[in-house]
Amino acid sequence: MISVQDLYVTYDKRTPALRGVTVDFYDGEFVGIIGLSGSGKSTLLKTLNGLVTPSKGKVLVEGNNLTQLKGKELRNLRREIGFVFQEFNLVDRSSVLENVLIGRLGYQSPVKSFFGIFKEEDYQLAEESLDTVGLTAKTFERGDQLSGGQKQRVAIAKTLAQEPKVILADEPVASLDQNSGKVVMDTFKRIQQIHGISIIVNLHDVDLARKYCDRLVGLKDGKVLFDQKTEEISDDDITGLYS
Amino acid sequence: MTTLRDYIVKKKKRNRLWILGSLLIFSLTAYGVNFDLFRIVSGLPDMFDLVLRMLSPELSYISEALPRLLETIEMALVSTTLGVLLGISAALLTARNTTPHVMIPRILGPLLTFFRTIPNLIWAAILVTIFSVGKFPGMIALTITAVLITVKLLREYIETLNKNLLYGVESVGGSKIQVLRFAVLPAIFEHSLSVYFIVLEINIRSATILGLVGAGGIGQILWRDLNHLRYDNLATLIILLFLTILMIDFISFFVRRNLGKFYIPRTSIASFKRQQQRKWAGVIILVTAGTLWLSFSLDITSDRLLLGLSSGREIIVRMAQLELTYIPRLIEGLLESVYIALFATLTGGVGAVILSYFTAYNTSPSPILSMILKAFVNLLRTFPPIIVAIIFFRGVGPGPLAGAMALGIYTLGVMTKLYSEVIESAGSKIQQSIMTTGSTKLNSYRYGILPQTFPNFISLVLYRLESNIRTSTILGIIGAGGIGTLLSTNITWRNWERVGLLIVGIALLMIIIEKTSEKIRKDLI
Repeated sequence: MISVQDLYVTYDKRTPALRGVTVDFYDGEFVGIIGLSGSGKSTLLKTLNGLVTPSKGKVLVEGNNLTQLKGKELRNLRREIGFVFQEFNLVDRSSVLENVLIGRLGYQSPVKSFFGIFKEEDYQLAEESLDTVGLTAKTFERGDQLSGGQKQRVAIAKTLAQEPKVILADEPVASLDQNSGKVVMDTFKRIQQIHGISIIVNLHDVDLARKYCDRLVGLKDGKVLFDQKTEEISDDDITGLYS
Repeated sequence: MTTLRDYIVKKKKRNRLWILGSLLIFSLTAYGVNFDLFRIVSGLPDMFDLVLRMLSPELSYISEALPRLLETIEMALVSTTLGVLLGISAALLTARNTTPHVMIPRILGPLLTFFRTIPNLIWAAILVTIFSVGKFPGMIALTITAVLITVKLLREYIETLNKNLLYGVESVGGSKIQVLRFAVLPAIFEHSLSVYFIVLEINIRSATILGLVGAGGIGQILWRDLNHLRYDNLATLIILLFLTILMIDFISFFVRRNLGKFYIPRTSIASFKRQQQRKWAGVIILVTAGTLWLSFSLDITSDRLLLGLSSGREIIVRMAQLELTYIPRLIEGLLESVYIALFATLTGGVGAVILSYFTAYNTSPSPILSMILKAFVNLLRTFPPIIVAIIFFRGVGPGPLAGAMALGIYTLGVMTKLYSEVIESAGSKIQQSIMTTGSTKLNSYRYGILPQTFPNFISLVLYRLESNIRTSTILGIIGAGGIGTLLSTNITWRNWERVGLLIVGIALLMIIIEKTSEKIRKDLI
């Protein structure tokens, strides 16, 4: 469980990106965070694994305050929390396998991994992850030879390889066409249902959010506007969010 | 509100102002470099005679020149490899997004900028007095240059890396070293290799002239033959150099073009693992072989090294005590260098606008002419200006005029190559839209492509001016005018307090020029 308490984030001292956000994420959930661009969705997600440091407030992961952690402890916590980016962030020149193996880095000693030495089980996990996202056939292709949708699925496989409890996804389908977007969202759904990993996803497409998510959190100007089960959300709530 | 009439009057005025201004600067710089048409014309037969004599190269000389040539190539290769490796580390240390500590770029950045302003021939000249004549000082000088160029080319590239790319490894719980190994290094690998070859192209040219100050390589016998008026030998050397530079440029072009395509696909995890192991075995072998080669090729004993280091320390201490009474001579020398650079940039730049029209394949009247000119332009920029200046000595005598003409010719070559490429990439759309009005090809250039690409042209000119000023500071080492004359005499006489002042003067001038040209370029876009 991740519990966010009264979170403030300020980037350049003047404009706060988050202004007092309090929200809980439970195990096994599929949660969507929706809102206009600039509403703080991306910032919220990045504070959940410590990529962005809040100026005030707490992020409790299983009771540990993530904002207080540093170095080794922070890295150990991070490997429990996967992160999928809008722009995939694959290493274009490396093969798909190498990209997925990056997910195992949190479990490696820095020296060994520097020489590219991975354990047998790391390779197995990488293979399984690629199987889960349906890309076994592409294992040895170069990152830049894949289509956008395939790249995103490799990114998901990389995240799966780190054996996370939660996967955070920041606008994972915003750079994809509708079809590839659907394949990616279906992949997330399958991971949630089969592996029991909870998914927290930022989406600007409300229809997509309603279709896939169990619960929706609406953010506006860095504050939570609503936080309800998907079926309880009215059209008025949505209109209020985007006005 | 401006009426059409006002506009026409203003435009005419502005055009006249431009032409008048350019003429003024041209006459000023022409005066500054002692431009004398009569002297050039009367020197022409002599220069022509020299070229004729050079047409009959002494081929038996090759056997004597070859070891020197190999030494030159070795110097360029070793120093480039060492320098680029050090430079990559320095770039990673000073780039804002990869530095281990925010203070490192703040301290190292200005230091590197200062060192970059000093031409490597000056490094070599100083190092020769410390470590005695030979290739060791030359290699150190080239390595310093390689480090500085690598940092400049690579740091900005690293800083433009997407932050999320680094987050990609950080978010799986990766440490700083793992971010470096799995995100940064793969992302900059291709660019670094490309930088390596750019530096190699620069260093092979520099290596040929280092011998002028006794820092090893083919330049040493080149200098000797010049003084003994052995033009047949000289011709042999120049042909050898030309072929070598051409070959390295070709290899570099080929590798840089095909970099992105190189990839060996694997079929199973077992073969992937074997590939990883082989890769590391290869790296270990390369590193061992490289270290061995380095230890053999650096021809210096540890005693000599220690002796050099201690005298080096003494020199640095003396250089820091700038001799301020020397400032008038400093300004005099700098001014002459600036005149040489301005004259060369202006004449070369104007020439390049005209020549580019005939060289770019989309504007050239004939494709054959375009091809011939491309080869010619490459010929012009193959030789370091300092060598071409030597040929002009024969016609106009030593002095700033020879330097300015040599630098002008080099500028013409480089600018025509770069600007004709700009014209080619500007495409044919503008040209076609103007040709549809029934205008000639020349007019489509004058009213379409030229105004469209003029900002690019000015920005190229400014870059060239920076580089020309740097070159003009070393021309004096062989007596072709500018501050280099003062530098080389003071280095010879070991007046280190004066050398210190001259170096600070050059650095200040370079920084001012760089900042100004950066500002103009920004305002232009």
